[in-house]
Amino acid sequence: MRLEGLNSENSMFIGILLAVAAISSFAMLGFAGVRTALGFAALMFLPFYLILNNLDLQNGEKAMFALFSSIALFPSFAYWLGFIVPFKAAMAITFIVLVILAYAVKKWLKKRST
Amino acid sequence: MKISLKKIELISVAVLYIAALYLWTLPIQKNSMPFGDVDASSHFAVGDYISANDRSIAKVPYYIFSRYGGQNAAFPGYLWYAPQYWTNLGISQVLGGGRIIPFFIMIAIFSSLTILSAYFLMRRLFGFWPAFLSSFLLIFSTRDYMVYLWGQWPQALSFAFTPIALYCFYQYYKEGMKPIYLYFLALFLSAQFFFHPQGLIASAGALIALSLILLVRDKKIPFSFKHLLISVILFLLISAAFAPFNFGSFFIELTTGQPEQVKSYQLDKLFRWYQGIKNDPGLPDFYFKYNNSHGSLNNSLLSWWTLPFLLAGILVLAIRRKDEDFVLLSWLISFYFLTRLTVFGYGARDIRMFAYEAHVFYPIIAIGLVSLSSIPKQAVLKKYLKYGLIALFIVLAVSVNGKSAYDVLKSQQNSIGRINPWQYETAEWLKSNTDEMSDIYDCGTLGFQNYAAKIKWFGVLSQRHFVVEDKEISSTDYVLVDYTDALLLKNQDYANFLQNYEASFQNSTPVYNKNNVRLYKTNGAVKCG
Repeated sequence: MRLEGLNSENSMFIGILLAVAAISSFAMLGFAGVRTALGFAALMFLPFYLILNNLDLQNGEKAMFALFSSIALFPSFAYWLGFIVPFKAAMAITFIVLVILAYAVKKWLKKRST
Repeated sequence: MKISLKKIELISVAVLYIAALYLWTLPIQKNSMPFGDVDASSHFAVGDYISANDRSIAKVPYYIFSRYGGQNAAFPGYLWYAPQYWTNLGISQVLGGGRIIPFFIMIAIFSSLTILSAYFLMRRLFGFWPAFLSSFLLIFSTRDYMVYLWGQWPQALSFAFTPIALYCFYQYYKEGMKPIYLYFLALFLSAQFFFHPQGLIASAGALIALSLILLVRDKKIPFSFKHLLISVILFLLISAAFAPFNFGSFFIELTTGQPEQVKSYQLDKLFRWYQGIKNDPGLPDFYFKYNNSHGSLNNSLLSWWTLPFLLAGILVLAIRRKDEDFVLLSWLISFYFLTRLTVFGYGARDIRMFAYEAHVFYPIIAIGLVSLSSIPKQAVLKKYLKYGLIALFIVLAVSVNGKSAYDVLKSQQNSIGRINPWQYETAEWLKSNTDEMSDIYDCGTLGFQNYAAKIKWFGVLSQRHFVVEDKEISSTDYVLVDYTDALLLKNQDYANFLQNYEASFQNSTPVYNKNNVRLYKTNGAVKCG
């Protein structure tokens, strides 16, 4: 799934920023810090960013709205699923469903525009 | 790789937020034990229970039931807040692979998110420097790091959504009523309801004030009724669907009980800014002093340095009155009224709304400072003055506010108010070796006489009910005698007192005896202290 505005140069820049964030987390809070920070970014933030990336929003809006949406909605889905399946599985299912949703929205919007 | 201005800005924001996280995680950097006063331990309890048992819960666990079991007005026994905040913390434990540090990293991230949301709003409204400076100052906000240390964590996260909510409404208005922004606004207001209603009320107040101002100025309603209706339905749907056991409770609390608590209308509050020290024993005196709250706790003259800029900022906004100025003015006006609700006969806890004062003040302070550079007529002078003032701002923010914040947050590393490693080890033992329905009476842990925060932390860490009221003592199954705090304080009288109490168990063998903590199996207990 291609992200808008993410060419190779920008990818490198984002990669460097992520590496700096990971190193800082490790320096401040050890391995648990890195796991928590990157886990939060990958599991919660990323799926929402992928969904919002399909919408007519500015880049900064996509990132901030995804961050704040993920904090509210990811636990909402995981919590209720956690009554049906084990909580860790609920987290994984939520992630997978959101990524699929992002892909489906992209496909649907593409189809609609053609 | 070319470094564009956009990239420089991204680097600046990243550095800003990493610096914030460094400061805000100071309490856990050299001490991996939990911290937090008042209700902090209860916010740990639910997410911890969910991740430990690998399943969601709707009802309050037994070990905190006596404190929170009756707090959900619509569904007694069910969780007293919406579950989202605690679920996030449970998720952090799974992601981080630990019980304490990942939890507190997530708390630090959530509690400091206003730094990012304020930046986002200010960047859109006023450009880079006002955004950067207001967020920079927010890193050291006494109000915010105190709320964080006291453990009012859901409230802190809820307030972080207000700048985003304002942004959505502003964009909706500026972009010719583009509905997507109003729908996101509905989502973020639901999020505030999930995390803490105070944030929702703060946003609603600011949005109503802004709408009224725009209505009067434009002589036109600044939104479409159709969009508003869809947004309201969206808000109700999201809130009710994801927090059904709390949705009704919120409205019951909002509409009942509060007005009768107001004993007098206190009209004088309208003419003073800080007024309620005597009204709320839960808040310290410095909370109601400008220089302490927005400068430094050491009371120096320099601790007042932000006040002239704040006044200048208010003046600039009031004179200029552009659309973006009205956003900050609305926020300020609503803050003024929401911190004085008793005057209008609503609520006796309006004083708690002061918690988000810095979020409103610091952007205005930044505006005040940056605006001063427009006074000279010569362009060169303007430029020099602008960067000179920015440099002055950063130096003062670091040396006054920053130093004070650093000292307080760093001092938490060695606070006796935190669970110590021997107590934590005992809690883990209790969790593994006693029945889930056991009642434990603590004699010796700091604050045991009035069942203070550490006793509550002991309870949630062991996932066992610790007696927190005298009336529960008779149901005690275990008595825990804890000398560790007396020894850490090197207080012989304290230790002697515990020895005297423990003497009544001289014919019993402790079921746990390690690190100067002993646990006795009993049937009821005698009050200690």
